[in-house]
Amino acid sequence: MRFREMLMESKLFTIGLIILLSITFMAIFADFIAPYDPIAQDFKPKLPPSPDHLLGTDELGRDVFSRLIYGSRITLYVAFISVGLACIIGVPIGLVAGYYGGRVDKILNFFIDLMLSFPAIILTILITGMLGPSLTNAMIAISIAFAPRIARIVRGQVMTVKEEDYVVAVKAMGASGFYTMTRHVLPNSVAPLLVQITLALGTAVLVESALAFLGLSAQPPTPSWGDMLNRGRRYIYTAPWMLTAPGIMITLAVLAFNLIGDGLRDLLDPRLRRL
Amino acid sequence: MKEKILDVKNLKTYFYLRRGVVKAVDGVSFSLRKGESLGIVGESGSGKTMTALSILRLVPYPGKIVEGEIVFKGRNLLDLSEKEMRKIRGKEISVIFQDPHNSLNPVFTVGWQVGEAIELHSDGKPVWKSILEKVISLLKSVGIPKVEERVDDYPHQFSGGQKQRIMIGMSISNNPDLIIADEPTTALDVTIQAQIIDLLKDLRNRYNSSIILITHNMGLVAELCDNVAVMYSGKIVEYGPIAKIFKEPLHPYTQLLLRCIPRTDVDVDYLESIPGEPPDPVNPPPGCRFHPRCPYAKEECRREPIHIARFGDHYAVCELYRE
Repeated sequence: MRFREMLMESKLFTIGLIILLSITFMAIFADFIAPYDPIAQDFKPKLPPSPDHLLGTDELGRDVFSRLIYGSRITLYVAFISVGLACIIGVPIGLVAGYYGGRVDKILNFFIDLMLSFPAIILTILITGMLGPSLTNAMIAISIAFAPRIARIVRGQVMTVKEEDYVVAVKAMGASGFYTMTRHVLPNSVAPLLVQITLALGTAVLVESALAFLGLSAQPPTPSWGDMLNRGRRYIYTAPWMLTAPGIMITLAVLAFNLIGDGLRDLLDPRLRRL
Repeated sequence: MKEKILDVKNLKTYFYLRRGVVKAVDGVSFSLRKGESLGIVGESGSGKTMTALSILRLVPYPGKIVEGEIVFKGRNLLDLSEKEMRKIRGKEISVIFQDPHNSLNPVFTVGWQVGEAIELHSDGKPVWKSILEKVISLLKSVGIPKVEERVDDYPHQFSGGQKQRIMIGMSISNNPDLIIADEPTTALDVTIQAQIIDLLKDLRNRYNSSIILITHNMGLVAELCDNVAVMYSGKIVEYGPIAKIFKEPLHPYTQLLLRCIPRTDVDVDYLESIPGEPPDPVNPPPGCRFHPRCPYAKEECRREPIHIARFGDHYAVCELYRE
């Protein structure tokens, strides 16, 4: 009921959700939607869009439309896995720092600050540069870059929640510190995190595309939007469809996550909710 | 005489802040027998709540219990390990907090939370079904209507009075020997206050638990308690049986406090108040901490130690009664 009301209330949230669901649908049913094998070469390179090749072909004669559809798999895969991994690392750190405070917090917070002083993109390039370019390493790099951001948000939230009366009440009932922290403080701290996770998903898409553009993510011939963008760049005057199509898809994906994030924030923050 | 269940001796809980040391509880001593109830009365910041939290060893950072003894059923709680202390909290000593609206976790159902109080103190892993039965009978005993339908409701679906009943249900779930009620009615309507006090009285008679009632409402103390301790600025200034305190209060602060209760039998134009303000907790006045506001203050009141005037089981810390 609440969900339906929310869809009615926030048009932008609904649009974001529709875009995301379409991309997800594309990714799941890529095998059925894509008209061609994304890595099969046709010896007709750089064909402009036509009924045969809806979005034309690239410099090796591969169907851009099919590659775009398969590329959504990589994008979503990287976004969800790396942000998930970032949460697995970041949430416990933020929880412990915020809950125990004092010296523990000072030490953990120092490392969080240290990590946050690097721009996410530079940090990921540095890490993939060290680990070697591959899809897995790109995901590891993105999660390492995002973990401190997640930890920071959890920490701040935990610091307010742990002062709540019900937390003291649980302790007065004889619960241990660990039990209180995980069972009572954590569930009350996740709402703002949810918003950040959605926004981080959008950023992860962007960062992954950037890494792919630099050749640091999934290696050819795997279809990935960033890599397609990079290839298209060289033929921007002669075959602009090669660059435009993945560019639009990246924009749409990031937009979708951001719209959903904004919508969630409005829903979860009663102060921003219109009555 | 019944056995002494709690004996607090010279308890000192200090807070170490950057601007100085706050002596929130400064040498408090009192004792409590089985089935007895003690009221701790005082204005905000007088150290009532910190006394209660000290007994449970839950003083928040940067506070510390620096001195004293808290003997509960023959054991000094300050000597116990954190693990042993956890077994006492909620099982042998339980607390009812001031604000029922914030004392229940908003993300869990009420039944789950009351069940948790039982589960935390049961050996092994009991079956949830048997716990749920206990929860239902507990909530019935504290007067929640239609319990079977409501155990799966969330805290926000209950009224303030009902939430406080649930908190009381939680606090008696393990038949504690001592219940500390920290201003249990402050956040409630007057009519609900009366019901909650009746419920506490009823439970005391049924389970024979001792109760420490912390409040600034003299009326509640008169309703429920056998003895009263009046606290001012971290110290007990007067202690005695309820009848004596009300009939012949010794300490000027108690006298003024009693005069502040609005009377309904005569027409009054304005309400009484105690002039002045509570002392600065970091730099309390020397000697009797009440002397700057006391109408009978003398030169001796500025010097330690202050005379303790004893009249049987009733005493006051005041220079007025020095022979």
